[in-house]
Amino acid sequence: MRSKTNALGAMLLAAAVLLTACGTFGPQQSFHAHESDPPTPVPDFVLVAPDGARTALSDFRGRFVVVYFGYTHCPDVCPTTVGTFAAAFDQLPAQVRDRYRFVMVTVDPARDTPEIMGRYVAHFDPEFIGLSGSPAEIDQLISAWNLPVECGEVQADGSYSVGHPASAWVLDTQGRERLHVSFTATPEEVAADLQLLARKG
Amino acid sequence: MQFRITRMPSLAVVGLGVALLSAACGGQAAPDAVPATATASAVSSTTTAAGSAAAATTSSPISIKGAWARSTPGNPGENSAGYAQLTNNATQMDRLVAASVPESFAKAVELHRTVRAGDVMRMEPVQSFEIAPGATLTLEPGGNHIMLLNLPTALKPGTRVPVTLRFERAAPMTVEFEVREATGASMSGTSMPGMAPATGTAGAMTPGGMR
Repeated sequence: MRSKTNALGAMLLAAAVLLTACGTFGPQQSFHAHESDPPTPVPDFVLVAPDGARTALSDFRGRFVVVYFGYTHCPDVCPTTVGTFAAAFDQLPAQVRDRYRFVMVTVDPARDTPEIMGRYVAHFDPEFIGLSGSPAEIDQLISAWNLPVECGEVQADGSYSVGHPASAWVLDTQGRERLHVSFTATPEEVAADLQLLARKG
Repeated sequence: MQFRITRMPSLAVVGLGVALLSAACGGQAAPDAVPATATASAVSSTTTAAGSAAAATTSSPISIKGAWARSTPGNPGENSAGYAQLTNNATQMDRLVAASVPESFAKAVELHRTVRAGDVMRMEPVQSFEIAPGATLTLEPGGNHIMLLNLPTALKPGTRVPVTLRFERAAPMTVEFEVREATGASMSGTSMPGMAPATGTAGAMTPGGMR
């Protein structure tokens, strides 16, 4: 009886060691970010790129696309998030990086012109894309995507802040929402997730 | 109102000055101004970059480490943020009540915190940050920060911003905040939320030396 228990214990221990080893050293199987299950199509939008070209989200079909909603007067969370993605993109192998596009869409069209958006994202990565549009177009987008956007009070000097989503969306090559990446993610976690998603397709 | 010194006063949903309006912002004028703005920006031009930082540390009970500010792209009227760790070595409670910079760096300075309320991130101005005896107030991305508003020129990496900090008890001190790259690549490990060590390794302000 005693030896049976010991044998069983040894087997369990071996199994546990094996599982741990797989978990630690095997290829990453699960995402750090929140996964959308099942993958859900997102509404398309057409906005204006820094060079004035009308640009649709669906124009990027065939690539993985990171979509981030923020604004350029945001001093803390937006630059943290865009900076994290820029650092993560730098960590990707070239062939994986080529499959991704990063698109930042303003939720503050009154101040963020397409030119300002372009200068803003280029500060982090020259290949990042900044989009803006008319207030009506952005309103329509906010409502279609059901984005949490809150306008802060306008101060005496005309400044105001804007409450915006805490996460960035990662879409797959078919334009379906796959991951929500929080602004608290590290570049390493983001790079690992983007590689895993590229592998999974 | 008092604020804890934790990394993120996470669910403190204090809808301070935030109106829930439909979508795109900026169309409405609001009557109220925030008094903190005036306090914070009042001292601007009295500060000089040279020499004051070293002088301030020798006697102050507040020690400051890891002071840095975000570089900016140079858009008109853009903002930035400053971060640091402030330790209160005194036996009495103190508060950071205001910050200021010369007007050539920013038109106004406010103390802010970032609050996550469900899926939305928002910023709130605060009157002060409490620093208990022996405690460290951490200003970091995604949490409490010093907001620099309406910059006349871009902040370039490698330059420094002299920030004058005012306290309830300790004497004002001017600290040079090192401007860093925006990508996070050059600040690996020191400032990302969730992986920030208690004390930063760069931009430290200790008697005798800043980088």
